[in-house]
This record gives sequence, C-alpha cells and structure tokens, in this order.
Amino acid sequence: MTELEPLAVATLVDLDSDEADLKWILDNVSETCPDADYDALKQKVLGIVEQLLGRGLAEVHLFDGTLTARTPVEALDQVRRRWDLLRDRLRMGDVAYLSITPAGEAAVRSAPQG
Amino acid sequence: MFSAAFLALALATSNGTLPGHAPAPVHTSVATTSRPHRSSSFSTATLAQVCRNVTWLERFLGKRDECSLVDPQGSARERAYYQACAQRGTNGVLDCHIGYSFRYVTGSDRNGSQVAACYRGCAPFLADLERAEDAERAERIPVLFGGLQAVGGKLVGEIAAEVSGLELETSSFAVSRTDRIVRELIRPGVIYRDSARARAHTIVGNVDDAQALFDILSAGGRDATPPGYQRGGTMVEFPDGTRIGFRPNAGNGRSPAVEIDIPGYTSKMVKFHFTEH
Repeated sequence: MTELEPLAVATLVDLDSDEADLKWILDNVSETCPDADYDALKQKVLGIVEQLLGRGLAEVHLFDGTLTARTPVEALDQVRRRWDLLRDRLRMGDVAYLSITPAGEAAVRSAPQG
Repeated sequence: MFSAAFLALALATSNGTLPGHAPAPVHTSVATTSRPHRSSSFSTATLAQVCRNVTWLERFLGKRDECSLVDPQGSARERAYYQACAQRGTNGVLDCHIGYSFRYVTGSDRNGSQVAACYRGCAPFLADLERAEDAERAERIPVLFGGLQAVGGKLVGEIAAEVSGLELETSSFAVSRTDRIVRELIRPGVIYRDSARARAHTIVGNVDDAQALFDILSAGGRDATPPGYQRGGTMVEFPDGTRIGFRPNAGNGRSPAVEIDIPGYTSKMVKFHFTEH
C-alpha cells in the first residue's frame, strides 16, 4: 500500500466496500482535485487503474461484455480506448468497473489504520 | 401530551424501511385527486423525520436549492404566492404559525398518505426537538411520579399541538423526475445509517427494499443495462441522461445498492447501500 499514490489507496479502500465504475472513481478524483480539467482527471483515473491492475490489487470488467485482456497493460489499453471514444461524456455504467482482488483485500487489511 | 408525541416520534424513527414495506406513520388523509387544493396536516413526528432525512439529502446531492417548491395546481394567484414564498426562501404558512421558517414540498406516498419535506430551516426545528427530548428525559422520573412539567423553550408537545393544528395547503401537482427522486429519498420510513464514505450512503433495509426503491425511481426509463453490468444488476436511462442502477449483489453480496447519476443536478454519482443492520 505504501508505494501506491494516495488516490490509488483511497480507491482500493473504496473497492473493499463495493465495486466501482470509472465514473465513480472520476468523481472521487474530481473532489480531490476540483481545479483540474477533465483530461487531467482522466489521466489520474487511468493512473489509478494502472497502479491497481499492475499490482494485482484490482481487476477490471468491461461493461460491453467483452473479455478483459490478460495483461494489465493490455487491459488498461482497452479501458483507455473505450474511454477515448466517449470523449468527456463518461457516465455511470460506461466503459468498465473495478473489483478488488484477494491481494487487494489483504493489502487493505494490512494497511495501518487511521 | 408528551407521551403521545414521543411515542409518535419513536414510531416514526424506528418503524419500517420503505413505504409499502412498512407503512410510514404519516397522516392518512388523501391529498392528490382531480380536485385541486385540499388540505391536510402533518404530525411533528413526520416533519421531524423528513427533516432529518433532508439533512442527509443535503449531503447526498449538495444542491438543496434545486429541490424547488412544488407548484400547487390551484389558481394562478395561489401559484404566484407559493412561488414568491419559494423565492424568498420561506414558506408563509409554517412561518406564521410556529415561528420556524420551513420551505417545504408536499407529496403523497403510494398509499395516498401525505408527506411533507421541509428542506430549509430544518436545523432550528430539529434543535428545538432535541432540546425538548433532552428535557423530557431529564424530567422522566418526575413524570413517572405524576409531577410533570418539562422545562425549556418550545417543547415537543407544544410543537406537536401547533403543527397538528395547521392546515397545509396541498394539491395534485406535476413533479420533475429529480423532485420525484428527492422525494423518495426523504420519505418518512427511510432510515439512514452513518457512512464514512462520501457519496455512498446506507439505508436500513434489504434487497427487496432496494428493489422497491429502484422500481419507483426507474419507472418510465428505458433499459440501458450494459451486457457486462454487475451480476444481476439493472440500469435504466431517461431522456435527460439520468441513469439509475440497481445492483442486488453490490458490496460482495452484502449490501445491495441503488445508484444514481443525474447530469446537471449533481455532477457526481451517489450510491445508496441497503443493510439490515
């Protein structure tokens, strides 16, 4: 957990309670960075997804029903491409959602409280 | 007088989860018929619970001003009066009678019972209620021995007497979808639990309650459930872009959820998880 960015940690903790789609994560990030423009927020969200996937802490599920790529890099690319098609109109239920993995749950449990 | 008021308050705050599953203790007179402009009154308990729920609502959506006063389908003069009250941020009726400045909306639940939602000026009302409750607790022993008379300013019994004597003007009305969503979320009978998560709130209830809320909110929407939506979930979309989702297996199956995304109203999603504890 310690090497994750704070926003990624917050997202992982959120995922421990419930799955979260990209719009949910985007909204969380925008609350933290209210002055950032949309593209900057989008890049932050993708960065969070990259960190969580790369460490095996979360997995991604595509809303269009297609299979998620095996490798984190390819999965992130799938997400990015689909999001690009929507431009700045990402809404609830668009593109993909994340769920926590057992490794992610273990990371949350082992994190210092408070 | 105090006992009855507190009993009503206790019932209002402890009974049931959603309308239809456990009847909310609201006034039973029917308001919405083809004839406009009927009258009813609201108990203190009903107003108290609605106000408490509205304080949650402010946290949910952040923009309470969007919840405008409902237009009564009365005369043009009446509509103008209500609109003027709304614009001033006060409602003349309640303001005159009990010294609180409530801005309120009214509606009727599926049983035809009325509910009122005050969403401005709730804080002093609730503060007085709490003070009265504290005073009642402090005086409970004397009450048991027949001694009574609680101290303090405006007490629950007095408020109850004053409010129950009011004739609040109500009538049928056209409501926006957002108003309808807001109204469902602040109904008496919807009990919220504290949640540490921003924009993710907890309502006492089970999967049936979650489904019931979703069914009400999603009426008239078109199915927009993506193929890969979470297990067993359903999502609807309205022409204005509002999306409402129901995920019975949310929270790893522990806390079914209804989630709402209203473009232009609040730019951020909100989730309502249901838990029986």
